[in-house]
Amino acid sequence: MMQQMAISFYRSTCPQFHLEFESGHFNSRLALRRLMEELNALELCSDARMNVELLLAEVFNNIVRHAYCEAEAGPIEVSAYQLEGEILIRVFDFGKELPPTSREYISEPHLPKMEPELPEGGFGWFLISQLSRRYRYWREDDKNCLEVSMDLDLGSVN
Amino acid sequence: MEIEKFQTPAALVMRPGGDRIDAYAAVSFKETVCQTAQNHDGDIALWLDQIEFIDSSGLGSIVGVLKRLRNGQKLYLVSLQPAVEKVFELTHMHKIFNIFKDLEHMDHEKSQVRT
Repeated sequence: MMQQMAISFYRSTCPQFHLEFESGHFNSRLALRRLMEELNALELCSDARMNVELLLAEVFNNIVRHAYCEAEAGPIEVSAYQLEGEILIRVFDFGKELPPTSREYISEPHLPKMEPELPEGGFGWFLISQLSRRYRYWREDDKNCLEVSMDLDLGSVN
Repeated sequence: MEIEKFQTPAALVMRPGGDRIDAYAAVSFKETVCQTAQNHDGDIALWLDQIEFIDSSGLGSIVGVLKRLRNGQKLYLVSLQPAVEKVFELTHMHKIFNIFKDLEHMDHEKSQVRT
């Protein structure tokens, strides 16, 4: 049901913004800066801006690290659509498919264990889950697809 | 990444420049801070007043610094901006670190501890 709704919306509405860039941590930083500039048009409150920026950073990091394995460059496509009270973000890449164990984990991500030693990673999907209203991952031919819906408060600009 | 360093009564303060500690900056940031901490006898403070954004890589690099301190050495985090504070709170890492509102509060509290 959610997939059908999303597809019909995709067909009928132009994205608020769309950007394609080559994978890599530096390119992700540049893309994020550009996307946040584009988001100025939505006049989001500061909390919503923070959430969008952090979520996109985590999504891009996952793609650079795991789909393209750091070294292998490939395209990343990101589109966002403004809906009533929410923003829908779609991110596509053409890297490695998310393995079954990771698919299982992302359905219910949790904080990494604090013991026996403090974790230096493993926060990404947990943050994505905390910052989003809902999200789903699917594989379409040779493409990884992630769709995330986030709450927005468009009424107040901080 | 440029990191300004100076000593206060409580700690050697390291103040990273730029506006973010993200996946692109995290590795070099951690290496620089760890190296300085290893060569310093006292406590270390990260003054993050200029850092407007960190992601989980930036958080991981700060946790990495904490784990690599010398015996008895302490790490303080100072002047967390709202987006930085949010990452610490969402991941519950704010419970792990000594966090101060600003350098004056850090020095004041540490001087109270010593007396």
